[in-house]
Amino acid sequence: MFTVIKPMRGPKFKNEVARYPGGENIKRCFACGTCTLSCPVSEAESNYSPRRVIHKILLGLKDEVLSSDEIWYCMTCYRCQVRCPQDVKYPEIMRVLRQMALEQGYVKSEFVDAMKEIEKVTQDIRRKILKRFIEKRESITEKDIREIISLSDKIQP
Amino acid sequence: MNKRILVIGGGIGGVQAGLDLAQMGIKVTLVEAKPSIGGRMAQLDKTFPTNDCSTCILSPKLYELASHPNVDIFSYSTLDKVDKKENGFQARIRKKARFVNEEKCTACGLCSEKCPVKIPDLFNKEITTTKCISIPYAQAVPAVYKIDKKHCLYFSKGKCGICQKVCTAGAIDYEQKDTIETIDFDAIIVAAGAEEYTPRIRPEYGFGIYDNVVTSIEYERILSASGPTGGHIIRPSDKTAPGSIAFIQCVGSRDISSGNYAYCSSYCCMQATKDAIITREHDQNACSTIFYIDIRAFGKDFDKFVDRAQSEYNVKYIKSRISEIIEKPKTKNLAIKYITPDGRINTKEFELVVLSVGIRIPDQIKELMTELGVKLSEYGFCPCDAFEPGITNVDGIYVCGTLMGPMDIPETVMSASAAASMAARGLLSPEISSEIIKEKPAEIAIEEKYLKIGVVVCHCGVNIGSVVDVPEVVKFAGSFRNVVFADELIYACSRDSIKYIIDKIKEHDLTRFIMASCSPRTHETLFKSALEEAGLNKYLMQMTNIRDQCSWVHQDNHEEATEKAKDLVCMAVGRSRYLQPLHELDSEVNKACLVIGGGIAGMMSALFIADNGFRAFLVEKDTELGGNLLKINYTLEEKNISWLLGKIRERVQEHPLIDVCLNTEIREIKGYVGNFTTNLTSGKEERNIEHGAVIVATGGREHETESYGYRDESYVVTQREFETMLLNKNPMLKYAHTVAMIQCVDSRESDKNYCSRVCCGEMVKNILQLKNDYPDKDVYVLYRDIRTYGMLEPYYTQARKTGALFFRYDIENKPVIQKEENGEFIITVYDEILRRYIKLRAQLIVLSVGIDPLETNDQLARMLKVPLNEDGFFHEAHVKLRPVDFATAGIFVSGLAHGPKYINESVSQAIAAASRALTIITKDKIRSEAHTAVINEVRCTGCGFCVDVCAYNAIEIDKEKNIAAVNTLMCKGCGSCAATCLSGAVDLSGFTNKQLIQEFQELFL
Amino acid sequence: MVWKIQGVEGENYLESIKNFLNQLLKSKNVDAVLVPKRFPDGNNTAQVLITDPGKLDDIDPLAPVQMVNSAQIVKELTKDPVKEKIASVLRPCEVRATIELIKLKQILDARLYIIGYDCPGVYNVKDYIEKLEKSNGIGKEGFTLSYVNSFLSGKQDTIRESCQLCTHFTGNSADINIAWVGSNSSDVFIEVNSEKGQSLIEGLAGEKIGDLIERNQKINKILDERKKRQENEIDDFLGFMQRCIRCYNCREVCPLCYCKECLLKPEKMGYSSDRYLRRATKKGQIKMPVDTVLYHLTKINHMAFSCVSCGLCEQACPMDIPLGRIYNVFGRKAQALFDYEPGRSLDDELPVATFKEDELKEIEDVKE
Repeated sequence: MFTVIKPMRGPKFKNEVARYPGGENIKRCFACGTCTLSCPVSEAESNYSPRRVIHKILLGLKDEVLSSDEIWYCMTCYRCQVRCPQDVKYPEIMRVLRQMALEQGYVKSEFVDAMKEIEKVTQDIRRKILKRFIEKRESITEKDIREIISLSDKIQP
Repeated sequence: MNKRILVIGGGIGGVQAGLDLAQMGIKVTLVEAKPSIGGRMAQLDKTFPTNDCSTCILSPKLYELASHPNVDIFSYSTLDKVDKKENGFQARIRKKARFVNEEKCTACGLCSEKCPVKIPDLFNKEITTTKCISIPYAQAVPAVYKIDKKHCLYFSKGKCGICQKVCTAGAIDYEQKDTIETIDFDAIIVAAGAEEYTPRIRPEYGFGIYDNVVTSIEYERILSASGPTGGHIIRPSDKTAPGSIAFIQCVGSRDISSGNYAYCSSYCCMQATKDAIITREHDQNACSTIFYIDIRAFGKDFDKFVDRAQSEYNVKYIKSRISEIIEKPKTKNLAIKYITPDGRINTKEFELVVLSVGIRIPDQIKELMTELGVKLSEYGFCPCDAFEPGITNVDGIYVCGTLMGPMDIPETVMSASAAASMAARGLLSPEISSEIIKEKPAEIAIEEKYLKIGVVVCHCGVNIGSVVDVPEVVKFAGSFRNVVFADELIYACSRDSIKYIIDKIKEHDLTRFIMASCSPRTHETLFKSALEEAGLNKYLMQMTNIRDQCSWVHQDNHEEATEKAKDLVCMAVGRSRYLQPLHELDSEVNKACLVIGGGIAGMMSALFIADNGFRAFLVEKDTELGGNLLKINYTLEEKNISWLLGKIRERVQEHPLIDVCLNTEIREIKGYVGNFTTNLTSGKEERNIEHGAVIVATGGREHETESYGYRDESYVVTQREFETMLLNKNPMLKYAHTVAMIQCVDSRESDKNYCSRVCCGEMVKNILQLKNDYPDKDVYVLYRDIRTYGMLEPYYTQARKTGALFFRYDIENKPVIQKEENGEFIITVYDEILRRYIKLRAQLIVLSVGIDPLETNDQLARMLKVPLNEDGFFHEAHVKLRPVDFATAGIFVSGLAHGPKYINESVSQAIAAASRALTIITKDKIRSEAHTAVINEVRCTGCGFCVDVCAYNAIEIDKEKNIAAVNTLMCKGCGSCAATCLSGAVDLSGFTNKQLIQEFQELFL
Repeated sequence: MVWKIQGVEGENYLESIKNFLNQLLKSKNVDAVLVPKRFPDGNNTAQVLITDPGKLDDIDPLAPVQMVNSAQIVKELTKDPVKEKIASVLRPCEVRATIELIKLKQILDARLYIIGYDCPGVYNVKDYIEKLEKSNGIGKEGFTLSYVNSFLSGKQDTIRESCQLCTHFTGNSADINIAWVGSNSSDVFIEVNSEKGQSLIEGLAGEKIGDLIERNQKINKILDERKKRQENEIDDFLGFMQRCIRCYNCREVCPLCYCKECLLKPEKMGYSSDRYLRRATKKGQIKMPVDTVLYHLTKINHMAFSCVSCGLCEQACPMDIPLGRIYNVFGRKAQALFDYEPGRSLDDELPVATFKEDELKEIEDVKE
């Protein structure tokens, strides 16, 4: 499969991103991969790579980026931002992209609201799962672990 | 003449600057804050890419400097104040109290052995401890101990005083105070160096928290045979040998987030490669992995070194910057997550992690520079103009080494030599010779005299005496035929002892003298001078080392150590019977220098020879001066090269001491150091010139490529052509919306396996210019590694900021170009991040083609009898410490003839070459070695083995007589010829077969 | 490239060789030929420098005896520049020694043409004379020819040990080689190995012929047998050395001992009388002459790389020390270290005078 990189008409995607607060440093990226290696989401989803998302933005793959699921994965832990040697602010850029996706009609505002709600709920589920685990930590059995994990299975599609 | 220059800093930069100046006849005061000189290089285990022992190559320079009569070293000293005066400076130097008398201390080490207080060993990066009274390392110069007042029991509690009690030399002085000297200087060279980044700033790497995470400097100490682990590679946590080692690059480099480290530290990629190779040499099972962003093997033979690391030493290179290190609590192993070459995420455990830490200027040096009024860059370095490397904003203050920016040892040495000849301007004159003539008593003729041998055996305090039975050795020595005097001394090197030795030589009318003591490396010169004082030829002394060879290595076996000492003395007696007086030969020096090549390197060399008052012949085969620079319009730093070049050309052409020979070829060069004759031809005219030194600055040329359709396509151009297109606003640019640049064209592969060093910078330069003139144009760069080392890195960052896109490609999978019917190019390349092939459309393709050596190098090399390397560039005498010298004395190299490099580096090397040449042509006479090869004409068969093995081109076969003939002035006395000659026709004076055989016969017969 | 020169074939190999040399001289391609020739009394041969083609009768390069290694004679003939072209007809071991001496700059090769030939090996001189005397009746030439026949039929066990071990018995590295092994009749072929060799047969009527398959088979068969005989160790080296009387015969006959003044000459190796006594006192006794082992070790050290195993040292030894075998073993081992074969080609550089970064790695790699 080939990706054909076409010259952009109108303002270039990367410049568009860079104009938003938080997006300024995007072009400094030298693709070292620190962000991907810092990312807890990448650990769960090996196909998710912040480095690749940045690279796609730089390549101008606007449609692909703004319509992709990836821009909604970031859980804004800011580890990548702290460790990035070039001060590229990935979580900020994700915020910018989400904003753009909404503004430019890639998603509806209801979707964004739902995403916010989902994030809240996700955190809540996480908290509950952990709580269950921590409560039993003294006498935890394999059965307990399976039970706890099955909780997380339930929320899968 | 009493010219004096202050050198601040005793690292390799300061040492080289000091030596060059001293050899030009200028007095040097060198101030070093640490207790000994040697700097960072003394801490390194080995040096790349030759893996020479760092200390072994450094030590001789340190001794040479310390023993040079023009040099005063103030170690453990600081500058209180520096005032600008008319035509110079006045400095107040504070020599801090060591509490050890420098004159009296013999460095026997007893004080340290008995001292009860252990303190962290700073030299070994606190991996181990040292004593409260110590020297930093065994080969330290000056070898004088120092008390750490803060930890000393005598100072803190008023008791102990053990060191004073045990010191038989009486050198301990608890009352010693700081002393202050005020000295006037004509100029100052600051070679204060830099320090390593503290990785604590990046806590995710766990440095200082995890035991098995060390810095590259700490690892150098661990590798070093004289280091804290005795050269055994063991990891700190459990003292076991690590089987897997990770090197993490760019820690504190190319990193603006943890501080102001936007630059690249230049040497770390190669240091990690070297350390990985050495690790493997220590342990055949150890596996190293280097995690990098770009491998910057930009120097001469560096890429080959990296290739060897991979193919022969199983070193893995993985392009992935590391995000964090996690320690496994039980094993103390370290888990590292990285991106694999095929884009997956993987985790691997390592037993040891080495952080390749970057370089920065410490605050106290920034303060010093501010004090001196020298402006520093935003990064704290002292950058200089390309055509004035080393010149600061303050008149009379020069800089060199890492203070100018991150650089490796050879660049430091070049910049130091360059600083020397810049600082020396106005202080030298052809009328005044720089050689040192020492008044000494007339030499006694020994030929008519009876053979009388004297023997002195030294106790070296307790160093020898506590193991070897010295009185027994003395008694034994006295029993030999012809030995008329034998005695022992507690410290033979003390002033009183030297006087005693002189008296005894005279009193007993001795004709040979044997010193059984320590290492000739440190003390031979001193004892030789005693013989001279006594009127004996100094080569009538034989020194034998009963300290290192007996008391040190056999300290547990006193009896056998004594027996061995007796054997060594016996051999020395045998050998001394045949010692003969030797004399150095003097030869007149022609005080002019020939510079071959009229490019920027040649012009700068000639200018600095001439600016220092000496004549230069500048020979150029073309019709005008300027070389490659004529085709360059601007650089990253300089916007108007042609104007600057014009100024330099004008200065060269109008300089009364420069004889510019255009349109001229060299037909023949005859002679040797100090006395060359060269035949120049220009058209039909022919003339001979005489000169004392030669600088080869013949340059290089742009590689001619046939790749990527360059031959046939007008829209495929080289970076240099592209630069001109930009300058001329070439109409082709209008059509080209998108420019694709391809790096490493024909470079770093089979036929041309080296990096041309300048192409990445050139690419960045052209991007910045293009984006400045045409912000809307797109730029794609296809690269293998971006090698914008040192202070070029911020320009690379700028280039990215302009929006240029960078794609890494693999040598196995090069980009493919197709031409469309409409004339556009489609480039297909594998995108490692997207993990799929992409097609890029471009209208103009720019190739980075690199630099080729000149084909004519071979001819010139044969004329000068100097070597070329595998790639066809001139091969310097030593890649680290003699980067502008050839092994053959009196011939130097600079610029592209030596290898690809940037303009500022060429200029620096060119001025360094001038400096090195000045150390020769400032002398009226040049002195040969006393130990030289002597041909036995009866035995010599003319087979020519000696000619083949001589590294200094000092031997030729006399065609008439068909026997070998040695040029004594060029001979360094290495003895290769003597060892090779099957007929025994070569003797090395002072080491003749007769002497060596007698050494054994005395022992065995 | 193999040539067959017209009009060379005679009644036997010797006559064919003679005819070929005759053509060389007559064509003026060379001015003189150095070639072994029988003495008038027929008992022995010597190298003779011939300029008159009429004097070529009785040449006998195949006679199974070697008095000296002729490289020494070539050295004498070429030490000064001359304008005449000399062709020297040499046994393969002499060819190789000559090439070594050229590299050692002891022979000026500008006007020298080296002609090698297939060598059937030789007897020890004593054996040769004895066998010759016993063979009355078959004539001098007949003796050589019957020897050649027995060589071709594979009988080799009575020849000198060095010859039995020799694996270079054709003159591959000479400018041309006169090949007769594998020729069915009495004819000889000319193998041309260099440009110089080509110029030697310039103008002679002849034709190129293809590979001589039968010849190669024969040669390989002999090679295989000989390789089997070669040993890899010397069992009682010190024992052999004890026999040495330091007569220096081995040094005198060695073609590669090229020093003008030997380091090991008696006055250099000897000591003052009191030293002998001191040494004896120290050990209780000393064997005289002293230092025989030192003498041989030094000589081996000097010669091992260039030794062509001609075996003259062994032939010259009055104490029957198997020097040929000793040198063969030491030489092969030393040469293998540097992938060097003495006399193989003028382009090979002598190991002593060259430095390669990757050589003698096995010494470097020794661990504590």
